[in-house]
Amino acid sequence: MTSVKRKDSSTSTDETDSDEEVPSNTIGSDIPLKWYENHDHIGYDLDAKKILKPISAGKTDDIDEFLEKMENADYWRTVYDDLTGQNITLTNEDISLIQQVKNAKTNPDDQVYEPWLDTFSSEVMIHPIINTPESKASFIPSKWERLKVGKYLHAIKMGWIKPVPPKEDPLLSNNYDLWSDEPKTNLPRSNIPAPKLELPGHHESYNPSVEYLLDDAEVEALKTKMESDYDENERQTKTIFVPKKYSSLRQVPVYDQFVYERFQRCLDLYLCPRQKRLKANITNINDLIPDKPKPQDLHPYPIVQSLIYEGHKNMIRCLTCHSTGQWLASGSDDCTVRIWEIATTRCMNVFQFDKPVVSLQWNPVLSLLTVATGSQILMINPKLGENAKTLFTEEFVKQLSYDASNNDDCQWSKTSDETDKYIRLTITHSIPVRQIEWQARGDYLACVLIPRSDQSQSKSILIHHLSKGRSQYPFKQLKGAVQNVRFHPTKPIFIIATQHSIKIYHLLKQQLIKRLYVNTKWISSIDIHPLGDNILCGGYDSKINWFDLDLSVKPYETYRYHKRAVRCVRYHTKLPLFASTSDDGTCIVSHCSVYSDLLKNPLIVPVKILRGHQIINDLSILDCLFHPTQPWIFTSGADSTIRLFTN
Amino acid sequence: MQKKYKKGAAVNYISRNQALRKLQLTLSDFRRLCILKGIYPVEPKNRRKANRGRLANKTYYLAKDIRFLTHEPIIDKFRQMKSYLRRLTKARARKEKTREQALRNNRPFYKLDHVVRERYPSFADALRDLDDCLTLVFLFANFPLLKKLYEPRLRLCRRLSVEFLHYVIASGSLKKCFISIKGYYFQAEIRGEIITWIIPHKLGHKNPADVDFKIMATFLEFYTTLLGFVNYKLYSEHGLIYPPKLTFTPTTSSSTLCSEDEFSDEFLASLGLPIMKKPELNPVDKIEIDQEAAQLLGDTVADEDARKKEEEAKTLQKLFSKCKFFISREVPREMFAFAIRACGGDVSWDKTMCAGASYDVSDQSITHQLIDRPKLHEMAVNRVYVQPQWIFDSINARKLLPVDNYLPGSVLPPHLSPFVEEKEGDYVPPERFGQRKPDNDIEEQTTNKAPSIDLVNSNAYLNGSLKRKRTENEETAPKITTKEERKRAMRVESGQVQSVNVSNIVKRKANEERRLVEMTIPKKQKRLYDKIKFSQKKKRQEVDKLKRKRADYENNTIQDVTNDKKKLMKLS
Repeated sequence: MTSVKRKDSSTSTDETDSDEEVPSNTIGSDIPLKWYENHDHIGYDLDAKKILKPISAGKTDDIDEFLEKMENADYWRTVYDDLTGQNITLTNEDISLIQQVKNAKTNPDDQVYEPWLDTFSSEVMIHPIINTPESKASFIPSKWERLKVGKYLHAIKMGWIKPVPPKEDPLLSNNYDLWSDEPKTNLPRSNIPAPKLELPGHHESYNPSVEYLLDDAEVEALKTKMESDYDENERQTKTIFVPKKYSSLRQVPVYDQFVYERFQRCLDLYLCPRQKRLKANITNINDLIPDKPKPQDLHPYPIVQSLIYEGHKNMIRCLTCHSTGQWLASGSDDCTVRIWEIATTRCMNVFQFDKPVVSLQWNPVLSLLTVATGSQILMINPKLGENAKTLFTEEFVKQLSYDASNNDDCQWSKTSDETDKYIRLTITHSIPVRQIEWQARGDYLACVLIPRSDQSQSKSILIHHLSKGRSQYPFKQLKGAVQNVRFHPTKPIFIIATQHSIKIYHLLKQQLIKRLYVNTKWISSIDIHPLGDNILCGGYDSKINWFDLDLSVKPYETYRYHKRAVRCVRYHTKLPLFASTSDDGTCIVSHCSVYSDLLKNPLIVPVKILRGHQIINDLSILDCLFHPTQPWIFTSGADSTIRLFTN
Repeated sequence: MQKKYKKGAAVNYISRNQALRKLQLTLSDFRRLCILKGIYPVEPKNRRKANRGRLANKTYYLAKDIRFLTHEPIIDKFRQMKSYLRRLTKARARKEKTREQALRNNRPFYKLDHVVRERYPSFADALRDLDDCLTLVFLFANFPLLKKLYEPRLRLCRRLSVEFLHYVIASGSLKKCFISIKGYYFQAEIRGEIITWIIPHKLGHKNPADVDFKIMATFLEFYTTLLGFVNYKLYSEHGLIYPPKLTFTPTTSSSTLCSEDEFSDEFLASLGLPIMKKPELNPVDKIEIDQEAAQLLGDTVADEDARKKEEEAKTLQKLFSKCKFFISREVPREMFAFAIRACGGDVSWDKTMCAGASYDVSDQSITHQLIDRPKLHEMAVNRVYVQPQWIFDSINARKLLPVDNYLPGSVLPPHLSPFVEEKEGDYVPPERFGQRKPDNDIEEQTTNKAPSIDLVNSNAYLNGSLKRKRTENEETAPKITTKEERKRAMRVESGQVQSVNVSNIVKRKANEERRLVEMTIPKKQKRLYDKIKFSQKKKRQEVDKLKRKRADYENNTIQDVTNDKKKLMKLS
């Protein structure tokens, strides 16, 4: 590495005075050195020959740099000169100068106090520099100015120019009584005042009682709740307020959300849509409850569970009670029908079949228990109760005659005492039976079938005439799957409940009387009031409709008090009671007084919620039945028990 | 036939964009206009009808409101402002100094006087809507002078807020006050209107994020105008000189650093000195008004109520009349000076703290000194040292509370909100009992507390005894029968006593009855019923939670105390 030692500080600044052997910078100070980076020369001499770069000028590799650093004692004062491309070792004078500049000191050698040259002297000269006399015009008032002033004067006199009114400060314009006169008419609109700010509660105090303070979990819960409530589409206005306790007033800092809250309030005032809302002013919540008699005043009705009839192995789908009120028959999914003595829960008889029993009913007149199982209807004489009646039934069945070949869809067959002890009559259909229903006089048996998909819906209702041994389809065409049918208790009227509607037909006139608009999506069961004017209808969507046939074809009332599907609705034959059972395991008994006076509405009051059945596979109480004479109710359920509730 | 969408909601409501087009304004100008004129969006009864069958999410204004806006002179001022700014930028770009100056001198400005009158046709309307106005004005009165906000307006806020406070002091209409974490809540009753405002705490200003000061400034523009008029009206009605003047002129001879006006303003802002009344006010007027009021209120009950109210107000106005206060440096001076003066007290502070100090610490007639530090080295014997909370609690209790709990360094009793009106079933902190009845003393407080505890105890005792009795009955009844039955029956195993919880049964029965009754509620009212039930349940849960927390805390403190005692015993 070549290095140049500066000899004198005075010559160092002057490039022309640099030493002979040093290659002077001929490229000029304006030219950046980096233009020569890629060349091996640097500028030209007077003979227009290239001045070659010093070999190791400029950048060397790191090892050389390091060795230089280690070996050269003057390394610290060696600097690289961009202009010449050489390393220069600074002299002591140079360094002291640099230090002076760094410390912002003046050079002690420099002349700080230069001599003062008084160019513009304060001394007045004897002779003026310019000695021309002043012009006449400077003494005479200007004519043009006079004319101009005259014009202004005229304008002022004429009132064309007015003095500039004193400027009003827009901030201080309110020093008068704005409301001195009578109030003006209201705004041309209905003003909805903004709700006032909520006043602070105890928890907002700087020193609240301890119970208002939140622990970490509660604060966390608040935050998560706020995050969960966050809606991107809506403006976020709420801030989390965490109560804090300060032991003294001087420790209370400024509330950092204060400005933000005020801002949100401002936004609320001009951005929030306002709406007038009528608020229900309810001082007492009991005002909402309609005034109805208390259940205690509406006795008798079933209250307590008294007996449990056990014996079935599977869920019990149907119940029927003998008209004397002594016997109860039940049909179950374990393909049996059991007959119970009501008072003792003793199982009197068991009939085993091949298929589950879907429906059964006692003949109102004869001692015939009618059972629907699979596609068969069986009439059983259980030989209970009065002997005379049993014998009469036997005789009646014996003298029955029927046309065996009258219908392909159903086959009647009699069984005598020799072949079977109990079963007297069998009607076999080609398709499964859903429900059977005796007419009140016990001669006609309506039967709901489940038609195959290729059959018309009109095949779903079949009426058997027992005394004549005949069967017939009463309807040529029917819409909708039939769910349930009922005979009117006194009149020749037939009620069909399809999935969505209830139709009432007159059997003699053979015409549709009424079609009821049902509120449910899928009717599960219907029942008709013993007086025949009211119909109850339960649905799988947990609704119960009460129809008053005299009043309207729309439901008089709809109840939604069951939480699950309603399976069965029943009236009591003698007492003003009805019950509904549901999959939620409850049977709700209601009082229903129906008045003969057409102006008086029926009085319906739920009086008791009966529980007891277990819920198995989302099924609980499947059927219920009132005792024919007593205020008792039987319920049969999916837990294969029958329960009797008495008053 | 009537064409569709020519009548009703479709023409009564107008969407925001339609309104902009109709008024030919930019959105920001429209917003400013809405703020100033108090026009707000409305929620149509049926959105689909208002939007001509479509269900887009829009903001709707009443078409009448927008039509009303079209005649607003401020809109013209907005347009003038727009062209002014255009001219100004042009002049500045061309470096036409004189033109620029001329333009600046003629900068258009609008006045909001007519808007105030329009929005509040009567003075009572204005007072009714003063809450937000005061809170915002007080916020900006305590704001540092930021570049974002127009400085003269901030000074105006300061002036107006001081004027309002002086009016409250002079009229003695302060009703309630409360120190919250958010700030100082004050409530005054002015001409029958309840007005509440918040003064923020002063220590440490944080520049808030997510706040658009432009909007706040527009609100402030309107609110300052409104408060100016309100102040003027209040002052003139109360027979005070507006702008307020002190009853004596403060001597400025000592200070040459500020002008006389500024000096007197500072004196005024200190709230320590009374302001001047109009000389011509004759006291006969007042009596007449009272008689008229009495005649109008022929009803004796109402009369009595009014008299009671008046009496209460008078006691509050004279609450601190016999006290002389001195505020130490660490106590927020303005708020406490205001509260004390509003209740008739004399107040002063250190001379170096603020102007307007009327007497010194060493004054012998000082009765109370507010300090907020645990200890003071030099304490005078003939005065009471209290923590500042005492002032607010006393005002809310309408009497001078015993100072025992508020001595310096002592643990303060909880500061409760006077705005809470306890309804049945609400949680009431036990400390509230002391404040609720204005006349009872400490002894009564203790007696008040005692029966409540007794009641609880006795209730617990009763319950326990009842339970015991019942169990006895159940046990004895089957015992007699079992012996006889054993002889008769063949296989009767000794049965276990059925544990019948009578209260449970009663409860279940009541529940069932309630359920049955609920079934009969028609659907329309069922929703409402369910909502009320739900809210009641939530409230009950909340109250239970608070009660539990309180009980836990009290148990802990009792345990701590006993532990400490034990430790002491051991040590001794």
